[in-house]
Amino acid sequence: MKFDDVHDIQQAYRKLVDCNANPGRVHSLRIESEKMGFPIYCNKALLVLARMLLDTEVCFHVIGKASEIISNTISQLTYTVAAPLDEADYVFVAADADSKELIASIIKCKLGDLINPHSSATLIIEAEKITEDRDLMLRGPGIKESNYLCVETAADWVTARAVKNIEYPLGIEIYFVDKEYRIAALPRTTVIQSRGDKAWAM
Amino acid sequence: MMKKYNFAFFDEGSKREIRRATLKAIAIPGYQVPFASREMPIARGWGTGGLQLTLSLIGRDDIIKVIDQGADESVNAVNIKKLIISTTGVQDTEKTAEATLIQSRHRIPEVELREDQIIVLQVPLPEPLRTIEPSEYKTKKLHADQDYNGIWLMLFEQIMKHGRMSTGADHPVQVHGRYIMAPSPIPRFDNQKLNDSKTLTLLGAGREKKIYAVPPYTKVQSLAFADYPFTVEDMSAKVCRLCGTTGVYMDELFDRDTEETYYQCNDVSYCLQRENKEMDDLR
Repeated sequence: MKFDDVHDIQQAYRKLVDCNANPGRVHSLRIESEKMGFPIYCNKALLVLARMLLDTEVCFHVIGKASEIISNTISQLTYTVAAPLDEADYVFVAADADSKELIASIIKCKLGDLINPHSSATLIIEAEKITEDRDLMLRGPGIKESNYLCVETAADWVTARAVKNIEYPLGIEIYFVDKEYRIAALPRTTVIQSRGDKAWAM
Repeated sequence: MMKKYNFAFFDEGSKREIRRATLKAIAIPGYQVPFASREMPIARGWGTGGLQLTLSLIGRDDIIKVIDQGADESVNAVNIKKLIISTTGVQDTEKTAEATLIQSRHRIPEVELREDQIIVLQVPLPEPLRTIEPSEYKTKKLHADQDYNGIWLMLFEQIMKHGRMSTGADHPVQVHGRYIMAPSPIPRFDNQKLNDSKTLTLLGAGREKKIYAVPPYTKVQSLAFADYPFTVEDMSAKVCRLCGTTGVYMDELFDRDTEETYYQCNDVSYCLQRENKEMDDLR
């Protein structure tokens, strides 16, 4: 079935809203992602998010080995202009980005300022696997007591994120998508309190 | 056949703008995210902010409920509902528990909302500091500096003049210990429903071009002093003349012929369901 720019995007958006409002909750974008018919060089869920969020009003940056091809694809699909990392509103980090690139994307991305804290970047990071396993214990708005999330990525981003978000309301949002098209969100208000026993994928 | 409108009235670019702002609003509870508010087929100040949020959220499977000060059948609610339904074809309901998406003007329903529901509140004046500072840039700076002396002083002056905080509706709240927020002109009775709510609350001000949000399970504290605590309208001794319930927000009515004052539930669908004995277990 063909990807529907109206209804598939709406369905994906509602899942993203739910992930944002309930950090740690994992949704699947499989139905929407698998409808992306044309050949692309990145996770289709990343493109669903690109089509949901990007247009000429914002700019983006792609990190990964095929960043140029992905960047061109996104630009052609959404008419959005690519920008340097420190200016981009949306930063896409592909799964093949190495650990240094992943950490650098968090450290160097746009933070906004206290008058306009909403102008910070949103990172969309492709992970190996996202589950609700007891790895990271999350607390904060949207979470009744605590939620758990396990995200397998190329690097340990937890400290870099905590440093970036240290001066609330300044901070960045991170959306994770994985190869099975699962999605989870960590708004800046979510505090990662501790780690479970599970080994952390490095 | 040519379709008259895109699904949910807006073009997809407009939805993207509202969606981007909404996602940031959820991430910064109580912070007013500016957005490019669209022209709507209803006048600004008549619920366009709420309507824009609703139209950006709604999908074919949603069940919509629209209320205006507790009533499903007031002109404002009916017109908004008609616009939503005619451009989406979604099902509507008057029963709070059945709705997936609730747009409301100035009330939060009596039935406790669930995690799988979203409530959208229409906001006329989103800036709680506006009465003390007319400049938008300065109020943004006051929020940035967390300088809320002015609003505390305003409440203090009310106590000096009236012996109590005299806010009727729209009593300011502090969200997640940071931003002071106008909860929209809901009665003080409803302020407590925002605190630690199970539901995502989205607030939209179309004329003022602001979107803000309270995620579920977020601390929302009504501003008050240690010696002048926050109080809500006392409904404990009032009984609805129609359904006999107590302890919900009531409208006070006056019969000129008998000179009798009586009360009935402000939330009409709640009252009807109580009368029809459909919902004893829902509250």
